[in-house]
Formats: sequence, structure tokens, C-alpha cells
Amino acid sequence: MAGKKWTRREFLGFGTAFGLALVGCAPQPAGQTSGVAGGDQPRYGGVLTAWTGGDPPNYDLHQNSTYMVLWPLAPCYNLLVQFDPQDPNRVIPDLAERWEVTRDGKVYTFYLKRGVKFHHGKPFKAEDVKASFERIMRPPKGIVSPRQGAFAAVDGIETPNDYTVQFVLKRPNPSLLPNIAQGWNVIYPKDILDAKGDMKNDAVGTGPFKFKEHIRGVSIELVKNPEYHVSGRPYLDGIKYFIIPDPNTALSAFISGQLLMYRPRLKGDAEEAKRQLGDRIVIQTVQGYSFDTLNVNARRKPWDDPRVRLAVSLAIDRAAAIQVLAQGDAVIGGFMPAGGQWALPEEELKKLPGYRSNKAQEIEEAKRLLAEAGYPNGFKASMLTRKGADFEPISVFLKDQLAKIGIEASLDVLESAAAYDRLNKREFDLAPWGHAIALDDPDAVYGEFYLCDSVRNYSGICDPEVDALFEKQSQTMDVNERRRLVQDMERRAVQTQSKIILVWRLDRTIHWATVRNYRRHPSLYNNQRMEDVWLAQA
Amino acid sequence: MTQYVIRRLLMVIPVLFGVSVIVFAIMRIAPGDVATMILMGSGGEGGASAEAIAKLREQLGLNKPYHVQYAEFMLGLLRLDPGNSLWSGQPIRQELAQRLPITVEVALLAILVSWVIAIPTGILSAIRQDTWVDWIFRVVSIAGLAVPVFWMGTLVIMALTYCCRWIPPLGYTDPLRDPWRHFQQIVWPTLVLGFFLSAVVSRMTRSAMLEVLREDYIRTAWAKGLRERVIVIRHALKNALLPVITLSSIQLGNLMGGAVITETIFTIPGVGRYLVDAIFHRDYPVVQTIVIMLAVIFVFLNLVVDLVYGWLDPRIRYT
Amino acid sequence: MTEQVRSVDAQVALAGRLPVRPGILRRVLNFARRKPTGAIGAAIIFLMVFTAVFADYIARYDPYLIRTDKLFTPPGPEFWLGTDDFGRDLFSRIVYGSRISLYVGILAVLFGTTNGALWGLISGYFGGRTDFIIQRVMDALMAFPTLVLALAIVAALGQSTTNVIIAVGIVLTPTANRVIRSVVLSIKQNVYIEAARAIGASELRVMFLHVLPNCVAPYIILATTALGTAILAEASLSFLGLGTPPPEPAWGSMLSGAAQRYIRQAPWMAIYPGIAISLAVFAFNMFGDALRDVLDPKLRGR
Repeated sequence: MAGKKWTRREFLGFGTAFGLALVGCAPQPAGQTSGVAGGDQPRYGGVLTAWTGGDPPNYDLHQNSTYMVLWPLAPCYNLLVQFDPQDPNRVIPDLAERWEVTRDGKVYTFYLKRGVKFHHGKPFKAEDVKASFERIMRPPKGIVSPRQGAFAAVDGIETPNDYTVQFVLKRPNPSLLPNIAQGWNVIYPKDILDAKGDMKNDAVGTGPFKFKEHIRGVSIELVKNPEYHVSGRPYLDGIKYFIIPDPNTALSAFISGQLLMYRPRLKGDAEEAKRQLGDRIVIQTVQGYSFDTLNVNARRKPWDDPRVRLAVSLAIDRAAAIQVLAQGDAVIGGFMPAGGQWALPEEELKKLPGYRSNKAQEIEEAKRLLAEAGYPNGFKASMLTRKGADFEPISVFLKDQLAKIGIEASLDVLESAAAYDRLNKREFDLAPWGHAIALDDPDAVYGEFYLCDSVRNYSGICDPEVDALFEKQSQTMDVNERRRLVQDMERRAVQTQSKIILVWRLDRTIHWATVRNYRRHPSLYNNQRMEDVWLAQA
Repeated sequence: MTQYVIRRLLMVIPVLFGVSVIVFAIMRIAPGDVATMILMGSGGEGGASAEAIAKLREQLGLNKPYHVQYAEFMLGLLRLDPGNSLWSGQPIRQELAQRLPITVEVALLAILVSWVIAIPTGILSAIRQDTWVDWIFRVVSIAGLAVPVFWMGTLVIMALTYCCRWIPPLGYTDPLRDPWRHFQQIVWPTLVLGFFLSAVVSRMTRSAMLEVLREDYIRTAWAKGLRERVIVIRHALKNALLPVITLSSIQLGNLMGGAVITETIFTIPGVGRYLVDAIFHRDYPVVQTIVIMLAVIFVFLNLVVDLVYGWLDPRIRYT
Repeated sequence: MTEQVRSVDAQVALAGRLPVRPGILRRVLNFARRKPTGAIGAAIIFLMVFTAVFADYIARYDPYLIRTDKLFTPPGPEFWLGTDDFGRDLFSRIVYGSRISLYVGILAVLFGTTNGALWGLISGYFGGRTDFIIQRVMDALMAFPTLVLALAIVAALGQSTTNVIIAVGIVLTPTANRVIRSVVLSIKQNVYIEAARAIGASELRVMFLHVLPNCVAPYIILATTALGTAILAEASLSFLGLGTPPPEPAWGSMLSGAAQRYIRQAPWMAIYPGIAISLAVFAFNMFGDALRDVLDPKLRGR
């Protein structure tokens, strides 16, 4: 028990120090720069302690899709271009100092930064960019590339000299830049790729931090790269990611000050930290990229009947979904991320069937549709449900909603591995699910979920009109014109009920106010490099 | 005696063979596979085409016939090299070498804590049967059993957070490098587990003690006019410990793989967490290796317990 | 539901019939005076069984009824124990939960402990090769960590309450087996067993008439403990996401998942199911202990 006293005293000393260092850091609404107290000079030194939920299975960013890989490895790398930490829709230089696009939109020329070195000493050149992206676009045998589809328009990559890279396209593709800027598509050193074939066991990049140590089940430690090519960066001496699977323990670790940065799943947890620590912490809330949805298998009867699918959509009270599934911490939306630059305006969305506020009337309509389809007394269906507190509630909620129009759903609860298997084999009637997208980009979102041959088109609904609109918008360079096409596509696609969207969740990162100059990107996978972050301390 | 031990050791082989076949079969019967898990991410974030899954399955060697997979794995295991994890690609042996000592330490300390609490209270309860001493000890010890471990663990973490804004230092510290820090990390899970285990041990001690105290030889001891302390400690306790040892050996074996809940809550990188993650990831070789390893530990623990029986109770003979 | 009610009744009947001497009321009072902790345990068990049987009359609302306007209501006059993340009445869910928990517990014990005890009896009594083989099977069974077993069953049979029962039952089997076997080993050494054999009693007769009665007390202890263990095991499985599937109001599932997640915002969601579980486990153990003292043939009449 003596130990506890000692630590408590130590902690009190800490707390006073924190208090002194603080300049008002109230929670900031999204869209404002937060975490930067006015007039403070960046300070060097300190180790950022951050949370992650599990061990990365391996270190190869190109081959993975979970944040558990991205967060601890992103600081070791650079991208060719990146999203502006201060403006989530803007792409700015990274390893490419500048770039040009030909008038026809078919050739992108990137001019690379000189004097950049990888952690193992090899100078960074155009060949590294070419090797990295060719690996993503055309993975050699034994390499999986989940983001391969995003580069379908690219015909080839040229390297006219050591510091110039050209992406030659088959057709214009305005989505190319945001796709290159995704946090996953880091630049790997060609020599290691050639020698080992993959980066599963290596973390060698050009980034501001070097990989030091990974103790499985415990932590991942990065240290400052003193030779980083951006002068004066990084500020931190290192970053230590603690692997904490239990959210209660993680929140306690944050409140105790052992973690400086945490991503709570619940608004309530962030508020609890605020209640405990007040101005000593900062909450950054963004409109996130994850959504809860109902996948309807149109390969099976009666779900092939659009009236039945529409009836289901009509039966679901989305306002209630926001409250029940996300405690009010979410918004309604279509297929494109709510609040993003491509989404349908909320007023228009609210007039679409299923989204309207007069729920009693919609339920009447739904019953009428079911009767027309030949099910006046409803029917039975099974719901494929993933085990776990993130997923079960969606099914419990939907079961209740469907009961209102006479559809009696039974929950078929499976743990993840089994549930994925069934989903991939399309063996389900209804599959309530939580999905996340990586990028607010029509090519990425529709390409992944909603085209006839999309890998994750779980419903099997194919509307040639949607595919045609997709092709058209994908080649439209003018942003406003493209937005108009995307919204046309969205209006049509949402009504096919390919997915019945329930809610788009807000997302948040909380950190101690001593962590400065961190800006949460709406995507979990962007702005995780921490190169500009510094720690204020007395 | 020696013959008995040799025969028991020989019997280990079919038991382990059975265990290995069963665990191999179970993992293959369970729907889902590691390739899908790798491609979709542990949170299901990614998508995976049927071709990509098939490609990865082939690469991981999951398309080989089952008997080939089994034989390859077992041959590796016999050379004490179970190979690499399918999920992480890391050598399993290396990972276990790091995790097993931690698990063993927590488990042994928890058993120790449970004895320290349970044996004195159990004895006192027995010799003061149906008095308030008995009632209080029993109520307290059973209360320890009645609270689920994960609930107690969560409460401990919450209590520490709210009373002291303190929780044990994150991560895991080598006891040789920083014993004090190590102690802070290990003490809470050990206490929680030990308290939980102590309930059953205390009850077993009490009932075994009651049983023994009615034996003829104890009555003889009383008749001889020996003091209570001598009777209890010298004569009764040794025999009363028999079922307690059985119980603790079972508990110890269970803790080797089953302490996953405390490991999760207190972020201890032990075997339990590794095993559970591997099961959820369908990381076949990891699950097989750990289960067989636990089986080995179990079998030897049982053998040792049986031998201890003979030592404590000369009436039991090995045939 | 009728099935579980019947088994609950059977259990009560069994428990009630055990002290068979005349003057039941006097015996009960006597028991309460001598074993106050046991009496408290019995009272709680009675209350639990009563609640389970008459859940329809005791519950105030439908336990599955979702009220989107009443999420996370703290305990109060309308909802005595508050509501959960779906606005469902916790009191009603706990009342109905007693049914599921008893159902899971009793069936798991009937399946697991009994099974283990019988094999333990055979194993300990006959010894030799029989003992050897049975013990190696038990070794193999025990060598599997609880979760691997649970997962195996879930994988092979699918996820349901029945499979949770089977999983918990198998977990209980080897413990019962070992304890009963060690008891039998001790009993066998007694003079009266040798005497029975000497006068020519058959093996089966000795086993059932002389050894078995001596195993009743340990069995009762095991079974009552096991009831508590089963309820706890269900809760632990739920913590790992493998418990009774939703939306069933099983106590274990109510205490893990959402309750753990909202523990800081709506602590009542975890506190009341937690108390229910603890009380039940506590009661089974207390009552089991007291019964042991009363039932043990060597202690009777002293």
C-alpha cells in the first residue's frame, strides 16, 4: 500500500504541473483548430503515450486494413502527397514537393523532394515511389492489396529521372490524388521490397520516427529520427503506443495520466474524462467515416422484391436509431459520408422514403407494400449478427423495428470469424453490420460497396444506371459538375436499398491539453504521423 | 512406485495424442479461417474477394490435406519448434517463451494468496463450527467467490481511478529490471484472482477438516490429552490438505490458460490472452501449440498431485 | 418455458425432501437456528425460484420492450432499477433473468456434475485399469481451457442457450470427477468396506450401498457450488462474448457487454445484475455448506 501513497503524491505533483501549463482548452467544435494554445512556442522533447486496441498482425501497411497496423507505423513513413491536417478535403505536398496534371487529366507528374533518406541510409528516389505503387496496384504473387481497386485508372508509372514520377492514366480520374494521399499508401524502400518481398517484419521508412521495439500484447515504441528531412521536426523524442484491449482500463489509464491520447468509442467516456479532468484535457469531435447499416440479401426471396426492401427501410426509425445505437452521437446519411463534400444535403435526405419524420405514416406505407408483395401478415427472417457490444445492439434494435411491420427476425449470433465467413459466402437473409470507409471519395465508396461487381456488395443489388453514372462521375474533372453527378447517382442508389443506412457515427479523439498541434482527421487513417505534435510542460 | 511413475509417463503419450487430434479437429470444424480474418482485419474493416482469400489460404498452406497439415505440425512440435503464427508470422516459441513465465508467476502467486487467506480461515471455521467466527469467515470468503472476476477486476480499476487517479503502470516490466514497478503491476490481478480462488479453497479446507476431526485417530489423539493446536496442525491438517491440493492443482492448471479475463483487464501479456486472440483469429498452430502445452502441464501436475497424495496419506498405495 | 419451470420444481422438491424426519416445520426452525447462514441462503434460493416461477406476475413490464424515449433512466418510481441502453426495464429483465440463470445453472449441473461424479465413483471404486483410463480421459478434458471447449461447442453446434449449458456442463465435469474420486479413495480404506466385502457382498452392492451414500454429501456440496459456478461461468463466457445470445435477459449477458461499456454513465446497468449474480452464487454456496453439515452421515446426530 505504501506504493499507492508514493504514486499518489507523485501524481499530485504532476497535476499541479499540468494545471500551470494550461491555457484555456475547452472542447472545440469540429472545424476549428484545437489543441494549439495561442502564443505558445513549440517545445522539443517528451514522449507521447497513445492508445491502441491490439497488436498489429504484421507491419505491412499496404497489405492491411486495421488501424492497429496504421497508427503505430504511420509515424515511420511519408506519403507521396498527404491530406492537409488543417483541411480534411485538401491534398498538400509530402515527399512530392509539387505536381502537375496535364490538361486532359491523364498524366500526373510529381517532383520529388531531394536529400531524403530512409532509416537504413538509402537515399529516397523515384524508384521507391514506383516500386511502392506498383506493388499496391499490381500486387505480386503472395501479396494482398485491399486498396488495389482505387488505382484501376492508372495505366503505368514512369520515372523520367531520379526525382520525377509520372502516373499515366487510361482515363481522367479526379480521385487519384486523394487515393494517393490515403494514410495507407506509404512509400517503402525499393531495396527492402526487392530483397524480402514484403514489409511484414520491417518498418523502414523516411518518416519522423523510427521503429524501436514491439513487445507483443504490451506496447510499441518509436523514437525520434534525428535525420528527418523536414527541418526542426519532429518535436517529440518518441511515441509509445500501449496495447489495451479493454475500454474501461484504457479510459482509466487516460484519466490517470498514463495515456496522453485515447480514442473512446463512446461520447459518454469522453465526457467522463472531461468531468474528471476539466480543462486539462481536450476533446476533438469529427464526423467520422463509420456507419451502421442493414445488408439485405437480394439473392434470396423475398428480398429480391424492391417493395419488401423499401418496406424495411420505411419501418426503421432513424431518429430512434441515432439515440439507441449511438446515444445521439450520430447523424442520418446516405451512402456518401454524412457531412462530407459529396453527401446529399440533409433537407433533401429528410424527404426521401424512410428518412421522413412522420413515422406512423411510413409504417402504414410499409405494411401496404408488404401486402402488395404478397406478405400481408409479414414473414420470418434471420439476422446474421456479429458477437460483441459493437454489433449486437444493431440487431436487437432492428429486430424491434421490423416487428412493427410484421417481420419476425431471429438473431443468429456468431463470433467474428464465423460471421465474416457467412457474410463473404453471402449466406444470410439480413446482416446488420458496422462498416467504415477510408476516404470520402465517390470512387472509393461506391467502388467498394455499391457497384454491380464491388467486392463488398453484400446485397447483390445491381443497377446498371448506377454503374453508368459512376463511370461518368469518375472521369469528370470539374468538382462542381462531378458533385452534381455524384448526387444524382446517390439519389438513385440509395433507393435501391443496396444497404439500408441507419446512422453515420461521430468520432472523437481525446488528449491531455499538454498535447499540442494535433488535429484529428475525420478518417482514422489520416494525420497519424505526429510530426508536428509537441508536448507542453512546465 | 517407480514403476507406477513410468507407467503414468507412458500414458501421457495417448492423452497428448488425443488432445492434439481433438484440438486440430475442433479448429478445422469451426467456421471461418485465418485468411479471411487477416484480409478483413480483426475489426472487419476491410473487404475481401473470394480470389484474395483463396490466394492467401494457399500461401498459408491451408489448402494442404488435413493429414499433411497435422503431420507437419506435429513433427515441428516434436522438434520443439511449432513454427510461426499464421496471423502474425512471428515464431510461436519465442512468443510463448516471453508469455509463459508471466502467466506462471501470476498463477502461482494467486494460488499462494488463496492459501494464505483460505487455509487459516478454513481451519478456524472448522474447529469453531457454527459459531460467529465460522459464519463471518464463511460469509466473507464466499463473497469473494460470488463476485465474477471480471466484475471485481473492473471495480478494482475503477476504485483506483476514482480514489487516487492512479492505476498500475501500463505495460509489463521485467522483475529483474525494476522489481517495484513489476510488483505494482502484478499485485492487483494476483489479489483479485487469489481472493476469488480462496473461497473454494477455504470451503474445502473447512469441510475436509470437519471430516478429519471426526476420524478415529483424532479421537484417539484427544483421548491421549494432546493440545488442540497439536491435534489440528500435526494430525488433522495433513490429511485435510488432500482435497485442498487436488483443488489447487486444478485451479493452477486452469489459470495457465484461463486467466484471460484478469489479463485483459489488467493488461498482462500472458498466455491466456494469446490463446483467446488466436482462437478468435483462427490462428491454428498457435491454438494447437498452447492447448498441447497446457495439456502437458496438466498431466504432469496431476501426476505430481497423485504422488503427493501418497506422501500425505500412507493409506493410499500405488498399484 | 415449461421445461425449465418443471426442472426448478424438481430441484425444490428434491431439496425439500432431503430432511425426511417427521416434524418438518420444527426441523426447518431447528436448521435455521443452528445454521443461520444456510437459512439465509435457502431463503434467497427460495426467493429466486419463486421469482423465476412467477416472473410473469412479478415483472412490471415486458423485459424485451424497447423504449427509445427512456434510455438510461436512473432508478426511480417508474423503473425501480432504472433502464438499460434500449430503455428496457432492468427490474423486469432481472426478474426474467432469474429463469434463464436457473435454467442454465441447473441443467449444466445436472449434465456436468452428475456425469463427473458418476465417473468419479466408478473410477475411484474399481481403481486399476478402469481408474487409469477414466482419469486419462478426464486429464484430456481438463487440459482444454474452458474457452476452447466453449468455442468448440459453439463452432460445432451454433450459438444458443443450450450450447452454453453444454459448455458449462463439460467445464464442471472433471472437477466433480476428481473430487468424488478422491472421496471414494478415502472411503475405500475404511474398515466397514472391507467388512462388507468379507461377508461376500457383491462389488455393485458395496459400491451402491456403502460407498455411494458417503458420496452424497460431497456431491451436494459440489452440486450447490457448481450451480454458483455455472452462473459465474455463464457470466465469464459473456465477458468474452460467448454467453447467452441477445436479446435474452441472462444475468451474465446483462452484466457484460453493454453494462461494462456504460459502466460510468449508467452504473445501475452493471450493479443490479451484478448483485443478482452475487446473491445467487452466495446463496447456493451458503446453503450447500449448511446442507453438508446436516447431511454428512458422520456428522448426523452429533
